[in-house]
Amino acid sequence: MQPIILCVDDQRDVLVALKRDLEPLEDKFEIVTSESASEACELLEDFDSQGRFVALAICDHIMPGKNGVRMLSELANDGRFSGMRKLLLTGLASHQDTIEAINSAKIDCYVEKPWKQDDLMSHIKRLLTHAILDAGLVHAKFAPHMDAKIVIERMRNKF
Amino acid sequence: MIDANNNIRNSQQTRPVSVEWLRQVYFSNPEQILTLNIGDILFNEGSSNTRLFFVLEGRLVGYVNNEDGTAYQVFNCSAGQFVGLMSFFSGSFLAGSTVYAIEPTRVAYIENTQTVAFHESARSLFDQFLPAVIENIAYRREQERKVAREKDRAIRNLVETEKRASLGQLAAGIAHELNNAIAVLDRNASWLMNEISVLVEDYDDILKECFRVGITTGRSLSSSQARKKAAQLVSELGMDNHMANKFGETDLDVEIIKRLKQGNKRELPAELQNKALRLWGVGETLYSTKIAARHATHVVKSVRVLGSTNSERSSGESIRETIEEALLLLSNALREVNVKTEFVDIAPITCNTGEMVQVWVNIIKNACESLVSTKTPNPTIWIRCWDDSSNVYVSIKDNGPGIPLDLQKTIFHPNVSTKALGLSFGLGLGLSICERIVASYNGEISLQSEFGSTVFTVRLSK
Repeated sequence: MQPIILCVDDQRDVLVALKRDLEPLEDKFEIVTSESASEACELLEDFDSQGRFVALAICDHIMPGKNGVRMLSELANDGRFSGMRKLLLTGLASHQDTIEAINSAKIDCYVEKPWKQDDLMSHIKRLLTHAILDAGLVHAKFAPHMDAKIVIERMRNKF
Repeated sequence: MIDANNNIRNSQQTRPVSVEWLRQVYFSNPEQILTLNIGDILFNEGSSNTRLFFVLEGRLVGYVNNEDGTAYQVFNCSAGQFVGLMSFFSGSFLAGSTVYAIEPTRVAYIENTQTVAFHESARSLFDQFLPAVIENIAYRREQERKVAREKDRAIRNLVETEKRASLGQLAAGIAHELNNAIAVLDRNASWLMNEISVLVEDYDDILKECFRVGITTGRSLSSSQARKKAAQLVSELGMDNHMANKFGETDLDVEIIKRLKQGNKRELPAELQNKALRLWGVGETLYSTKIAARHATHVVKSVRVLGSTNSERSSGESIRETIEEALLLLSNALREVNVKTEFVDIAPITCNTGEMVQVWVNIIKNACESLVSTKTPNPTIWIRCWDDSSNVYVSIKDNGPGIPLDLQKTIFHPNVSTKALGLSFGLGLGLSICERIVASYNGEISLQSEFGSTVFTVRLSK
């Protein structure tokens, strides 16, 4: 089964735009969208029980109910998803929120809205490469979505 | 000297000088009494004044002039109080303020040549008047502080008002700049909708239907609903996951999807399905573009209200349509709330539809936020609209926890800082704007709120 990229945003329009930008990845990854943190957490439970690997979560911050940083902080402490990379995609995070995002949620990347597709995709490529390598999967299977430089760097460090 | 109880005592008796003693001794000479009518000036600021005055009856006020021509009051005194203590005892003999009577007044005075009368505990004029001088200094200091505090408050209010005014101007300026661009986007979106609808006429009926569904209902399924539909397509139609996910997101009927799966005379199923998805996608995107353009238009319109003082009204407008427009603008926020409307057929009125929409959006959005943030069970908003011979009425009720009494009084006051982060333009510029708009229609907004029921009623005269 394909590794999953989970997108979370309460605005449907944003999810649609994001999914369209991620379309090139659809041959090797399953893109899953969710409109709230609680829905996303339920999905993650399902994925875990099905043994599916979630490589990346792309999360908005300001959402009704649980906000993005809080959700990612909870996940940071959940050993089952330690291999999952976390990208915060938001236009409305305060300075304090950002500090919390880095320190408690241990996000791997922060992208401001509105985002540029190629900018976002290069970040995603980087994060997916790390996630795939960490999970011990065969990176070659996921070409051309892997970042070659990172692959080489990590191979070198292994020896 | 120190007495038997270890207390320090003056060699003289410690009976203090009383004001009554001063009055009797120094201010009882009938030849040294002045009578003032209202408005009569006792002395002018800066002029020479060698006299010390005691008010027998009436009231005097003292004013000091600022450089800019304004004046502020430094004292207000009545019977039993002294005037001119400072100039008299400092030796300057220059009046520190302009003093005049605001009631018919009689004052007695002594000249600076006055000889001192005997008193056991005070031997010089200065010693005798010292308590009065100190009290006077304390009083003056308090007056100055009062003036300073009021000035401070006035300045802060002015800054606040200016801030609001300049923010309003800034916003109106931005809106003006955007107006043309947004008008173009809006019209282009409409034009494209029409033109592409014509182009699609050449396609097969089933593909035309996919386009029609997209352009009419847009994307109405939530992500979880889409997943359920995809699962249904996999189990009922045996679709592969990839296609099922794609079709699951659409509003297309399962029947249509079934027919697409079969292909047709000209195309293989895969090709047909991809075409169908593309046509649905184009329709849906046009729909969402039109909504976004309309939203932007409303933001611009409402923000321009901040900068302008008048707005055009047209006749024959339907209040019901303005309410429906407001509901459409808020459709994202209202997803989690039940909305029940009850419209009685009412006559069209003359109004500016943009302004009307603004008012409903504000009130409905507040109701919605109150319900969602307090997690009210079965959150519901009721909107009713009716009229009589002279007025149109709209009531918006929610079953949330209500607005506390003390907040109800100030809820229509302008407040620059809004709830979340920064100003949220367009969707809610505050109830103060609503009140202003409604007032311009000779109407009023009333509020009744208690736990479980909050009702805003807007009355507009026809």
